[in-house]
Amino acid sequence: MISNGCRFRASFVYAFFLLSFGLLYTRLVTLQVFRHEDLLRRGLDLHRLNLKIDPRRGRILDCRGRPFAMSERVPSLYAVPEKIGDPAAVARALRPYVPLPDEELLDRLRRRKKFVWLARKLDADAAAKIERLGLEGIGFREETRRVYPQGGLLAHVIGFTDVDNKGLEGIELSADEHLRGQAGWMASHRDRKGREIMTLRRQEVPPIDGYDVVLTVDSVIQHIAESELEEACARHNAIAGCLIVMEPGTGAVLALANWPSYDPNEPARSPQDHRRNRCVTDVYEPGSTFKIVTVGVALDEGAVTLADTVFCENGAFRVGRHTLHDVHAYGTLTTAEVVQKSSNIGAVKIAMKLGERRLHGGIERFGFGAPTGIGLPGEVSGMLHPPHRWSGLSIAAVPMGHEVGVTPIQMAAAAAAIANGGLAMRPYIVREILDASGGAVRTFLPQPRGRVMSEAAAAALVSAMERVASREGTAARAALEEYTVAGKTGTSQKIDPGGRYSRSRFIGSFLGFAPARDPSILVLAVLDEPRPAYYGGVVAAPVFKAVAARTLKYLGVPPDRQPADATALRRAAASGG
Amino acid sequence: MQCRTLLFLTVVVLLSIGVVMIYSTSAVFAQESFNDSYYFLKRQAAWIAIGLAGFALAVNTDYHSLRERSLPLLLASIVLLALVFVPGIGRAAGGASRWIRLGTFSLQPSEMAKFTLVLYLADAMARKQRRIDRFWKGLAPPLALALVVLGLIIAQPDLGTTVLIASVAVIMLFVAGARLRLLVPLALAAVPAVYALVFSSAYRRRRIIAFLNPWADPEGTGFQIIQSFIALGSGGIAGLGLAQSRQKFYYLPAAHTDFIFSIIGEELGVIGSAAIVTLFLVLLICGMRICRNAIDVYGQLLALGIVSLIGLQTIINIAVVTGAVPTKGLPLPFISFGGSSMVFNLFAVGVLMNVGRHMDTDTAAHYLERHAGRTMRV
Repeated sequence: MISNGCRFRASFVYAFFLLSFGLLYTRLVTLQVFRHEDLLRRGLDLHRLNLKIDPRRGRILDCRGRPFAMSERVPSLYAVPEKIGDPAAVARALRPYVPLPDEELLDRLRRRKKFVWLARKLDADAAAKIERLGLEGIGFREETRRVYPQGGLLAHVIGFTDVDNKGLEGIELSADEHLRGQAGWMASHRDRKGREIMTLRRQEVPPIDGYDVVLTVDSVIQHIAESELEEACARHNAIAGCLIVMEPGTGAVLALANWPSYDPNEPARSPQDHRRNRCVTDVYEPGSTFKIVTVGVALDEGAVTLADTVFCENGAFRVGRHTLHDVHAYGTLTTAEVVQKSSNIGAVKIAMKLGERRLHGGIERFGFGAPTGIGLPGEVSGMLHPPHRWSGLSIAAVPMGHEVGVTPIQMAAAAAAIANGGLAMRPYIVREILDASGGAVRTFLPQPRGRVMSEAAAAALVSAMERVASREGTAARAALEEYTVAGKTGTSQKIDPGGRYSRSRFIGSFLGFAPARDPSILVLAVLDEPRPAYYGGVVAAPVFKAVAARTLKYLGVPPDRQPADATALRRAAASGG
Repeated sequence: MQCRTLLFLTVVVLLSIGVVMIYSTSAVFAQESFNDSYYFLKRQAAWIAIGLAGFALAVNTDYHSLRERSLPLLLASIVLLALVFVPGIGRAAGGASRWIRLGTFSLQPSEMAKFTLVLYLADAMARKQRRIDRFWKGLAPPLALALVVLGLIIAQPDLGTTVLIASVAVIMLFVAGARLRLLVPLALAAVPAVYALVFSSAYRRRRIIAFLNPWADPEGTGFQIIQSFIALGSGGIAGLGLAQSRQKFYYLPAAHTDFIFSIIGEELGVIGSAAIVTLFLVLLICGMRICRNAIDVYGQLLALGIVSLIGLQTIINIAVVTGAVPTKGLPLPFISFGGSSMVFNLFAVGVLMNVGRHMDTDTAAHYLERHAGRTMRV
């Protein structure tokens, strides 16, 4: 055996080992017990990952549940530049999938930031290919993309969102608070590459998805409206057009069309001019359609009756230094005939019986000079001067729809009040807000705005308007075979930049409803600068006819009129039987 | 309980903990790199199987039969150590040539050299007990061989293993009875050598600086040690729970090899980490008892060398991960991932148990009788 001296040396080594182990324990207790809090906090700073979870934006549906706008989950590509070793190589690899200029892509990859977006809302296909590249320092985050499955249909009403799903236009903007939902969040951990460690997810508050917004619009009727409007605009070389289909009894908008249009899936591809919802943002001088307001007020105030006659000066009537003309020279016309033939002189003379103040008050009651409150962004009030600012000539201009500026929706709403027996309904386009399970969060009921004229006066005016769509009226082309029609044409000169009425730029419009005595629908068609034909009865009345005929058939409204030959047949059958 | 039984159980428990923790620390990385979360676990299991076979062989082989093989084995190790520098045979990784390619596996000759040098020194020192006081005839030849081994390992470069082997050699020479008059100048001579080595290489210099103040450069040189602190510190008393480590998600480099102990501390807390230190302490105590009671000087020195090798490596590894000494690349015996280390450590423990087998049975007396002429002076 080894010597005692060496045994001592072995013990010395043993003691050294034991002492070292003692030091290890001390070190462990120091780090794990005494410095626990501090080091745990430092660790959390590294690992903590609090993620915001985007809610799914609600859908926008038509009155039968067909989606105009919906959201789908898609991957978005981001980079963590500080984790990228060779930005040039990564840029080369990503080039085919990232819609950025090469320099911009490289610049983003070189930024001294912890997070940069490279491509938002990619196709799942491209994302899978990028994933397979196995690049360091890039990753995906799921986002929701807004899609408009019906393309440009109802685009001006629906609007669109920005890349962060915030509503920018239309219903997307006005109903944003209902659509956007509430973001959820998640407390989790991340690995050193910044990815979430799924197994260490601690807490999750799920997002509340946005509510669905149900419109009063029917996409079938909307389609009818848009296709007929586009065709008419093309045929008459108009620069723009508006078409509104409303339910007079409720104020519900069944279709609201503008031309030119755009695709909300790619709003940036169209000029801003195409994205405007002219029906609520644009003001025009309504021209003769406005005579129904003038006559309506006069009938209601008792200033005239339907059978009262007015001398129409054989086509030329001097007011101050201005001479008023009719398209055709008329002698004596009844009030009904003034509407039927659209006599300017007749309308002005009826208005003169009313007086400025009563006329202005009546026009205001019809809702002009104030937004209708339909709830679409950008709606304007139009232009209606108070009587004290009227010139001496105003009484000869306002009754025939000059010196007033109206929006198509105001005009449609005013006419709807007449169709509805004098009771004005506030036009509305959002019918319901539904939660994710389809339960109604809010329901919007038809809202009476007030009575604009007595029922009797309204009935009288309707009977006059029925004569418009006849062989003797201004809009024979608006007549429907199976339904009675009440309507009014309008043709107005646009104002040139110099402030004078243009001799070449016109607005031709027609408004009408059917069946006349119990209307299911009201249609207003406005064509901007049609040429060479520009009379409302020529350019707009056929649009009304096509839209009304197709819509009434689609809605299954029972006909209230027999086609001429059918009547004859039935009569023959009755006598024979 | 018998010392050897306790020793064996301790090693088995350490191996079991190792297997579980290898999986816990490597599964994510393995899944991502090799598309197989069991990649490292399977390999480690294979190495443990090979190691246990070596262990069984060693336990049942009279350790004296190693005596005449110790020099050839050491020379073989030196050849293998030289081969790591030969292109096509050696495999370099992370700036160091430490491996020899063997198909899909790699052999780390320094692990073999560690063990064979201990075998050789035990034999040489036991043989030269009488001449140990004389430098040229006693100390010089084994010292020269040891220096060759150390020189080859430092050239890889692997300072950690060099320091470990040098320390074990010094311990063995010291306990074998080498005069302090000879040992102390030798140790003093090593100081400027180590100093020069450390400050000649930029990364070692950075490690020293990082050790002194890791928070000075938390994203750079101090990164690994800070991540190790965070892992251990997050564990607290009871730990975050098995498999709940966050630091293993790429924050802590070498989480399944040299720094596995940090993750154990993170998942199992101070209770788990102290328990592992205690297991190694039990191993040390058992080993030292076997050393003390060995029937001959060779057995004593062999046991001492093996215990020092495993004990010192454990101490250095845990001291590194707890920031008590500068970072060295040394695995934790029986626990860290690594084949060569596992096989030679298990073989060494087998030899240790065989040394212990002779002390308490008739075999000892029988042996002494047979080899009476060759026993050392007592």
